[in-house]
Amino acid sequence: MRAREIGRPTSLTRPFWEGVDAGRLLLQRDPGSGRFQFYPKPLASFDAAAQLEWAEVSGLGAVAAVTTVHSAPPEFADAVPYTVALVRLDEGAGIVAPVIGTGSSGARIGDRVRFVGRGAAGVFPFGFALDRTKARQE
Amino acid sequence: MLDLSARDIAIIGYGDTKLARRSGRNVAELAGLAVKDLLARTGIDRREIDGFASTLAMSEGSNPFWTNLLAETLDLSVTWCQATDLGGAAAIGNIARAAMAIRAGVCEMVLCLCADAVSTEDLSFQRGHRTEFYDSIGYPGPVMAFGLLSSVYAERHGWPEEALAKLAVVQRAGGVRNPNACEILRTPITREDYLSSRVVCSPLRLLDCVMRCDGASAFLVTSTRRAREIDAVRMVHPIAYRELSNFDPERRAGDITLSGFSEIGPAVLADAELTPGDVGMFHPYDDFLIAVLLQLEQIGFCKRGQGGSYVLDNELGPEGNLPTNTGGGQISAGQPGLAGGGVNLVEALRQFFGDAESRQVPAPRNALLTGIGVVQYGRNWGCSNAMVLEQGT
Repeated sequence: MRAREIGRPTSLTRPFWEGVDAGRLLLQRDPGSGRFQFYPKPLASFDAAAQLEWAEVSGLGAVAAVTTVHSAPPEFADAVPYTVALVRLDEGAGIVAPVIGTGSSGARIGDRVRFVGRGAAGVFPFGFALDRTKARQE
Repeated sequence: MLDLSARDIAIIGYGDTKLARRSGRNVAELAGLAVKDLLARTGIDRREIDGFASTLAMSEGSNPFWTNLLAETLDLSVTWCQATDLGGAAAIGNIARAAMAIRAGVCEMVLCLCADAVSTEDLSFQRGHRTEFYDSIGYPGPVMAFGLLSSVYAERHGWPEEALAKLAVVQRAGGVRNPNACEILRTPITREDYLSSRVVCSPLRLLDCVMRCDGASAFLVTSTRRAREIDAVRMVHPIAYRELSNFDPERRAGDITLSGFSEIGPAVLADAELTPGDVGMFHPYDDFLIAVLLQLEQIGFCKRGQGGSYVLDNELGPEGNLPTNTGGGQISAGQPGLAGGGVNLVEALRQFFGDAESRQVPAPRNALLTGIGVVQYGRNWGCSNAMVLEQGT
């Protein structure tokens, strides 16, 4: 039996998960440079002396890397195939998350996506939805 | 950098077990078999061993006393112990650490061990971003991380399917000729087998990936002076070593396909005063076939995006111009968990020592070995290391 404790918030990451529960995407920001970072870390990635703060981002971004998972761990076996992307947020940080509702057609690099929180991402705690309307407008 | 150019360090022996899928064996038993083989091959008395470095074992979970437990279980009494948590980079990482300990005078005959029974029992548990941000979104394992970086490679350069098929077929031919490879991998495959194997995490197919197994390997490292004193029959010198953990933390490159090899690869060859064309054998860490192409490019065998053409244009078998993972690599011999780096290392030594039988490379003079360790969050792999070995006299 493999030891697992999936997605348990820590003192370092709790604001992110509280955001997920509220359908909002909160990330750490270095107030000096305005740069966002993810995953949550004790020090700023770009200036170790900065005092990090939590701030909400737009939740909009673009797919920077993508894979469709056909062989899943047991907890997600019913969800296959599902697509996971590295999303580059418009604010600059990268976050890895499922792209919801793509079925076997997946997603493509460059696709515009929008963050969705708990309850809107199916079996996943959070994810991104394709934002094709947005892409056409641009 | 660790300057090994004086050739004052020698690897004087290896031992290993046959790799096996779900062997049912305890990791200490596997470790014991590899050490027994090593002692028998070298004729060294166990009491001469005064230093000990080991990789960790997923089958042992987070045992906080790993090298001391092994020392007690193997009845070793040592003045220097080291457990190295560099994942697949730990095998050659430990050879380098042993060299440093010998140079520092704290020990002189070091056992470097790689042992894991992960396919029988996986008690490993990685907190941090792995459980919190990867397991929570359905992370099936490192194949997902390699699927992500492969998508970017494919977008930029096209997916080098024919080259990956060739590499799969060539390495499998090595596994077939390697009696210590996992038995279930010792069946030849064709280009068509590769191209029709099922997609696990797009664009990666089953035959792009390693299969976990159980196994152990063991190595003896000493000073060249001591090796001569005891009339060591065979020796190989590590002559250059570079290691880099957490390449590009500030994302200056901002490129998921780029790894630490882009820095340490060219550097380790320069340290050894070799060009890529001088490399006699290549034993790259191969958890996924695409990792071999990325290494060829980033070490400098070819330009970026041309790893596929390089593989198609060169001969990688034992008689070829760049014999590569001649024992099958991990892809076609099996990956014994955190001991995986030992598979590539033991094959290099078999070749140097003339023990590779039907897959013997004619008179190898040097070899380039690499290690890859740890999956990073939304990036590449965490640790890249490389070692140049040279035939001793």
